[in-house]
Amino acid sequence: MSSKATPAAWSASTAAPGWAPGEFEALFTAHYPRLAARLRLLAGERAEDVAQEAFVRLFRHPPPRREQIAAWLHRVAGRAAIDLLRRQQRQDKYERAAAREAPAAVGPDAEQAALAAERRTRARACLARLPRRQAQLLWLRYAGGSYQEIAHSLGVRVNSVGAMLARAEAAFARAYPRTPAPPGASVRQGKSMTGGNGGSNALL
Amino acid sequence: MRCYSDGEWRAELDGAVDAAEAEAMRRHRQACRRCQQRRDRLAANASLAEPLAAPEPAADSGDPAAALAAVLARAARPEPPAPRRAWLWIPAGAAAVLLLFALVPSARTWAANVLAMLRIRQVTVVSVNPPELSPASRRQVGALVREMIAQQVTVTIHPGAPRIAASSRQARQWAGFAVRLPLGVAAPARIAVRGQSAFQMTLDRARLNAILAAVGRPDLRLPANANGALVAVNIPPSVVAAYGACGAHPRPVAGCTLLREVPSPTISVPPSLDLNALAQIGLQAAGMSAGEAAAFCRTVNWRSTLVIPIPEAESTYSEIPIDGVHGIVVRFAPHGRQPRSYALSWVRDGVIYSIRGQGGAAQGLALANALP
Repeated sequence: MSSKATPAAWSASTAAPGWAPGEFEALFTAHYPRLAARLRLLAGERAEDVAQEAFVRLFRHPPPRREQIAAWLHRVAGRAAIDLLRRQQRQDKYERAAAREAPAAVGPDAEQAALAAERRTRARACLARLPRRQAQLLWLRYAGGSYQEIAHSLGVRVNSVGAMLARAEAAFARAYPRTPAPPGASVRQGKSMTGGNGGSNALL
Repeated sequence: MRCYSDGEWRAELDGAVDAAEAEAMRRHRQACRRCQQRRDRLAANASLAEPLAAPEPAADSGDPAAALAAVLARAARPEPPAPRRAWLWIPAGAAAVLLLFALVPSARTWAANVLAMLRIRQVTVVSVNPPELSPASRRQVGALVREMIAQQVTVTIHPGAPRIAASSRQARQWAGFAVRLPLGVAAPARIAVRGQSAFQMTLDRARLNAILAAVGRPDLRLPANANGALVAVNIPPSVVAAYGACGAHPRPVAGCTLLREVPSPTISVPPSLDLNALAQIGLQAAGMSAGEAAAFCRTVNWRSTLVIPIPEAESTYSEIPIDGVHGIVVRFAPHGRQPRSYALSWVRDGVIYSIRGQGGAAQGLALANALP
């Protein structure tokens, strides 16, 4: 680690300790938008904050193997986002999140949008109840990660992902009935909550 | 006709299998009702989580250039000092050791080793159903464990050879704690005092994961932050009193009963080490489902509880009043040439007691209840 005084702000174009000129900027450009987008599932409006913090850590502690950076970022950021989600759940921000996400129900499209928002909020709350690793797995899967990405982020073999996913979703299904629906959902649930094989049955 | 596992069906649902395999699986489930039901169940569970994939409401994604500038500005601030790596002195901290013990085939070895090593205030038993390993797999696991111990374990205090005490008083002097021996029974044939021992183990995630894979659980992985974690174990001097016809090297054979006493060992681990997570991995490796392991771990205070994993196929256990406290009696069924045997264990005043012998537990109980 360099003993030079830290500048007021690093410039992406100059060489910071552990980084070649422009290297960090290139990584940021390549990974930040997708990471921030995926984190919205867990962290909502704080997704960018969580993503940026992960990059701050990356900047300060560059790993020796650059090819693992995407997996590292998802692992670090996912963990932080899940912890944040759990804290938010504990702090009873559930209602506020539901209120922010659920648009005013005006017309059938808005009604559907409100239903979707409620399901998403409840699913997120259910996620917070799971062991962190299972929550991280489901986040990676439903944020669009491939089995390869999931395996790299979690440090497991690709052919283990299916089994882990099956177990995580079974745990999710068990936790779902115990996860309270967002306020106002009970009226809408009676209408259309049981599409397909879903609903709130604990299907193991 | 080979049925597919949950993991394979789940991957198939996600299209994560190649076309040929997918077609084979499709034909299979048309002929196998059980697999079709299994797939349906997995699909139903997945459908509950599907809302997680719903796109978030359109949000201001921000300016990437501004985000980068924000990151670089934050990175330039002084980094908060890392939390002092203060060791957590955990009286029990069974997780890392439990993981190892869960992989040792013999229940009797488990019980004996565990009782000799961990520091506790109470005892509990968990019934497990360890995987059936082929002889080759057992050899592989044994080799991996021995290699790991050779590479990752450093003995910092050697106990030396046990010393034979001439009396209980001498045993107390050597052991440094209030050794209790039964009153009103024949004197012990031998009282051996084993010196203090201590070792450190650096957790090697890759090695432990390899062991998990060798016992058929490649899906279980230690948390990343467990890698390099240093676990230090300090075992105070212990005493073993042999009663009956025990010979020169007492073992719990016919006619020989062993009473072992050791003050609670101390295990120290880094605060960041998630013992609960490690314990759950160990329990799952020993045959529990993830749900069962999680549920069990919620009932255990790892700081103060000795957890003895017992293969359910070979033993039964129950709680019993013993020596004025609550203890456990484990009864081992006959196994190969080994006749039925038992192990009693309890904790009193910070000292772990165990009595082992063959046959029923009556003689052991008599010894325990004769302690002053």
